[in-house]
Amino acid sequence: MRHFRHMVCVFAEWSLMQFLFEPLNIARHRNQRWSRPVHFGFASDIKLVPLTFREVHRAAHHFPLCVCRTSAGVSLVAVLAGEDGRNQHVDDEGRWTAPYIPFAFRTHPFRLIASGTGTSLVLAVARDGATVHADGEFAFFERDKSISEATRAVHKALSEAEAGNRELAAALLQLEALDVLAEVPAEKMGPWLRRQRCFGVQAVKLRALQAAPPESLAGLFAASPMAMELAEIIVFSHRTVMKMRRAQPDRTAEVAPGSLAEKDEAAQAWSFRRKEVDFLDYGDNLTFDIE
Amino acid sequence: MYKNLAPFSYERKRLELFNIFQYKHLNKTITFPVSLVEVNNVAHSYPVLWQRNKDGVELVALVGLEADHNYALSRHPNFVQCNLLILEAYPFALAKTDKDNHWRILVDEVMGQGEDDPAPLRTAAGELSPEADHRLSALRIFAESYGRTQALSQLLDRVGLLKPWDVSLKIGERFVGLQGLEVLDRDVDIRRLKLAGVIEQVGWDAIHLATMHELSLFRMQNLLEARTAPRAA
Repeated sequence: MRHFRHMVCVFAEWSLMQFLFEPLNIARHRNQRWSRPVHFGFASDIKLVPLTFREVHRAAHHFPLCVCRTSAGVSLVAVLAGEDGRNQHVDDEGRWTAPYIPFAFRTHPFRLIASGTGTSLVLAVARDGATVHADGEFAFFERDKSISEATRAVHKALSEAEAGNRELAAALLQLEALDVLAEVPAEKMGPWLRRQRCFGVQAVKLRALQAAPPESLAGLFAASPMAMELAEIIVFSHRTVMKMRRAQPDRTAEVAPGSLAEKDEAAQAWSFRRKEVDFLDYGDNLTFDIE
Repeated sequence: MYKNLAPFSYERKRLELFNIFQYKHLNKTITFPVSLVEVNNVAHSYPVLWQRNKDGVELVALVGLEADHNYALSRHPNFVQCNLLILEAYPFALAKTDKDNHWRILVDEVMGQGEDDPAPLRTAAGELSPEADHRLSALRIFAESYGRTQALSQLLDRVGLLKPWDVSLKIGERFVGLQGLEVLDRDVDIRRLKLAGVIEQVGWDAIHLATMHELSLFRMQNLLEARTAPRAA
């Protein structure tokens, strides 16, 4: 029993508690097969999913990203839930509707879990009748009792992701040290957030960092490049646009025929009414503008 | 993208401003210059990379894989709403035409095609029309960070961070090639090492542009899918 309690504890953070994960075992899984998930109903109540190092850029195009602090440490997570706390990317028939499926779901029913002694990670399989059954696509074990090629491939992918995640975790700690994060208020995402601790990049803090002297920024970047890139990626995922609220005159003024200079000089010469935000803010951003 | 550029003067009384979709020749173009101020938006839809020309390199958005398949003007469902400033401003354009390197407003003297009536340059009261104001405002916003964008692009080129990105794609039974495009060095360690030197000169802009560029490359898949899949109703 102690062994199982430990396994559940590892995954409690990510709300996959509806499944019990058991270490892959010849006695337990020899006569069973597994299938890749087609239906994602099991994810319909999952609000946050941790991302792997390799999928950060791709995921940023489809989900808002946040830094999540749990008892297990810091993780970069994709926010899946809407205001009602339901995963917005799974429909009533259990189909995944977003163009990208996070790695954690694609590798279901497998996970790496801490071994009984806690010194290493072992491949574990969910007790999930939808993906683990006698008629599944792939065997867990070959007839000679060796692990099947398909199962080995998933194990390899999970192990590589785990190795990359150590780099990601280090970058997240560096991101915290840059002091650009702030806790996302529950009203930004929904009441369900009160049970989580999610951090986004706060615009005002990021601007302070951006305004640092170039030589200081270069030093920071040399020490923690991934952290600074992550700050940009998180902001990008929230589709926050930089709003430049310069004072605009009420009416159009004519300028010297057809000429303008750049930036500061241009501020004098150009005086058209439309503001930057008219062109750059499409109204679907600022979800986490927690300024 | 321009066919018949001429200097624009505020003395000018008349100019027909057609809907952007009526300038059919723009469909032939698949790369358009972008400015730092809009990179964050553009990277959500299109690859943002560099194109080499006689003056060095220019930051551009790749909005299609072949002429006549310009998704910035197609309202294709694969692409989130993103209006490139340079297209918002059309037919107004910018160029440095005098010896002092001052930017000058030009206008592409091209007739639009189609039945929609063009908007006038001026209202009956003689003021700039809302349509003209919109387009010139877009040009102003583009211009305000274009010089900075170009300076950063040339710097990235000088330190050897830009590498040719020749792409060959199979579309149906044909191979379509893209030439003259450049991307940041694909070696992450080299890229970060050289980028630190650029940051030392220009500050955060370099981190912003490099990260948006990397993110935007994932939009290539979008272009390919739009070109190969039947258009959604």
